[in-house]
Amino acid sequence: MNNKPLTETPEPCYYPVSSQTRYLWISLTLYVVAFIIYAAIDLYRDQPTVGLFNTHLPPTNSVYGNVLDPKPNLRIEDELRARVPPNPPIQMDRVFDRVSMRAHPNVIEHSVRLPKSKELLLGKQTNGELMLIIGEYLGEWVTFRSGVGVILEPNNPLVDVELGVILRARQ
Amino acid sequence: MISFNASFYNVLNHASGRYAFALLSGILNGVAFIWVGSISFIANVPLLLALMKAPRLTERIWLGALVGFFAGLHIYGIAHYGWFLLITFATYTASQMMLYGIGFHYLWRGSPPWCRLALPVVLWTLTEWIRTLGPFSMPASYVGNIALDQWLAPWLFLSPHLGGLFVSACIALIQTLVFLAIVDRRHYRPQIFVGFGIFITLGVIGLLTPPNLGSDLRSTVSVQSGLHNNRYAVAKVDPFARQEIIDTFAVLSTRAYSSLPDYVFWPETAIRSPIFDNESLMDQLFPPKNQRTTLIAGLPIRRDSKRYNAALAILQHQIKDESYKIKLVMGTEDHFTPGQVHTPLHIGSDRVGVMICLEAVYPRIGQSLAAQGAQFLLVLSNDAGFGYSPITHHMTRRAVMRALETGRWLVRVGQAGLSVIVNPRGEVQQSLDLFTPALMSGNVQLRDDQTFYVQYPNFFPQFTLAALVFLILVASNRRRKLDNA
Repeated sequence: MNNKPLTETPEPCYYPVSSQTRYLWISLTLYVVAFIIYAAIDLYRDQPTVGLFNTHLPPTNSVYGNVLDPKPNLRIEDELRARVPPNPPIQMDRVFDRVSMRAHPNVIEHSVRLPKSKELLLGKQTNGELMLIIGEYLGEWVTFRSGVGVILEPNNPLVDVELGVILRARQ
Repeated sequence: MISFNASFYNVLNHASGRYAFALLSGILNGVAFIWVGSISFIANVPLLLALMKAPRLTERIWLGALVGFFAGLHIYGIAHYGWFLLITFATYTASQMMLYGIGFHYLWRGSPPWCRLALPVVLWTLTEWIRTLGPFSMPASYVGNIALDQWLAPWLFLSPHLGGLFVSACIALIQTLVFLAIVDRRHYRPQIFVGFGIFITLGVIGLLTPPNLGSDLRSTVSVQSGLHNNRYAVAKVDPFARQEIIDTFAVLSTRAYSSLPDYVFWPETAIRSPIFDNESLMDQLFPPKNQRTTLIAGLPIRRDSKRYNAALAILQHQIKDESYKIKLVMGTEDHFTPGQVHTPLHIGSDRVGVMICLEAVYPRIGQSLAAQGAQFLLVLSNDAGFGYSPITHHMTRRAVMRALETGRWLVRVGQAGLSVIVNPRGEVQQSLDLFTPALMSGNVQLRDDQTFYVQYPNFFPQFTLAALVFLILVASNRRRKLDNA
C-alpha cells in the first residue's frame, strides 16, 4: 500500500487499478444508466395537462400526419358541436342535403374547397368517413378526424372528399 | 482491513480512479442542481482530491471538463427546447470547470497551507462569477441550489450585503474544509478550525441582520394559465385552440379583477395573437376601464417593424410603460429582437422591476433594476416547455436569489408555474403547483432603500480577484524557492 502523504502532486508513475476503483466505476456507471433512463422517461412521457376547459394530451403521430391536439375520445359530432354556433344544431343525417339545409344559418354552401377564415369544411370521403378540414398552414392541411384529433396533414385531404359542406365556425 | 484514507490512496493513484472521482463530482454537482441543493457543500470534494493527485495540466483540465459537462447534463429539461441547447449548456459549464482545473494546477503546488484554504474558494467564486458575464453567459450557482433551504437562512441573509456569489463562496469554503480534512486533518488543523469558525461567524452575522421586509402594501393577483407550450403550437394552426387560450385568460383575469387588486400579472407571452387592434378582446381581457388595477402582461409586441418579447403595464386599456426581454433564448426566440436596457416600469408612483424568464438567473439584472429604484421585482416566465422536469424548480430557486440580493419582494408568475411570491428573506409566501390553471393572490411590500450589494455589486468579485493575484504571487514565489532548493 502506498502511504505517501496526499498533500503533494506525485511524479507520473504506474499504479495498478485497485478493486475500489472498479467498484466506484461500477457504481457510477449504474447511476449514469439510471439517470439517462429517468431523464428519457421524464422527457418523453405522455403526460396530459388539465386546462381550465379541457384535458390536453401531448402531440403524437398517426398515419395521417402529426396529431397536434389528440382527442381520442371525441367523435366528429362532438367536435362540430364545439366549433359551430349551437343554434340551430347541425343534424348529421341531413347535413349534406342541399335542399333541406339551404336555409340553415350555419351552412354557407355545399362545395368542396379549402375553408376561409371562420369557416370549416365538413367532408365525406370516398370511403364514407367524415372529416373536418379546418384550414391550411405553411403548405400543410389542418384537419380533425374522429377518434384521432387535430392533425397537421402533409397530403391534401381534399382529393379524397366527394361531398362537402362549408360551415360557419365560432372562431 | 484497509482504512478509509488508504482506499483514497488506492483509487487516486491511478488515472482511472481520478476520472471516476471527477465523474462523481459531476454527479454530485448535478444532483445539487436539480434535486438536493445542500449536496453543493461536498460536490467538488472528489474533484479537488483528483486534481491534487493528477500529475499533468492536461489531465487536470479534462478532470474539470468532465465535472462541468456531467453536472450540466443534469439540466436535461432544457432538451425540451432542443438537444443543441443542452449540449451547449453542458459544454459551457465544462469550459468553466476547465478554468478551475487550470487555476488549481498553477496554484496548488507551492501554496502554503493558509493559501490552500483560500484557493478552492477563490477559484470557485471566480468561475461562478465569469459565468454571469458576457452576451453568451449562462450562470449556474451554488447559492441558487440552496435558495429555498430555510435552515441555511443565516447564510442566505448575507446576500443583500455581498451578493449570492458570497454565499456560494461560503459553500466552497465548506468544500475546502472537507477536502483538507480528508487530505491530512492533522496538518491542516489550524486552517480547518479557522475556516469553520469563519463559516459559523458569518452565519451569526446573517442571523443578526435579517433583511427588512419593506413598508407600503400592494395587493397582487397572478394568473397562471396552466397551459403547456404545445397548446400554443396548436393555436398557430387551429383558431379553436387560439380561442381556448384567450378564454382561459379571460375567465381567470375577470376573476382576478373582481377582487380589485392593485396589480394583476400575466406570464411571459401569455397571448400571442394581436389584442390591441380589437376593442372587444381588450374588454374581455384587460381590467375594466373604470378600475385602477394595472395589468402587467407578458405579450409579444411590434415596435418599428421589430417584434419584442415585452412586459406591458396596461391601465384603462392604455399601455402606460413597457420593457423588453434582452436575454433571449438561443434557437427558440430568434424571431424576437432583444431589448436594449433594463429599466423598471413606472406605474403611478410605483416602480416595478420586471425580468422575463431566463433573465431572473442573472444577478446583475435584478441588481440593476433595484439600483434604478425598482420597489419590488416581477418575473414573467414561461417554463411550460420544461414539462414536469426539475429545472422549473431550479429556475424558481434562482429567481428567489434576486429577492434576497436586492432586498425586494419578488413575484414569479409562470405560464404553467411555478408561480410564487417571495419576501426579501427568501421565504415563499404563496405558491401554485405546476400545470394548474389558477390565481395566486398575495400582497407585496415596497422597499426603496438599497442593499450594499445593489450599490456595490462588484465589490466581492473584485476582492476575490485581488485574492487571486495574492495567491499567484505567493505560490510563484514559494515555487521558485522550492525549485532553487
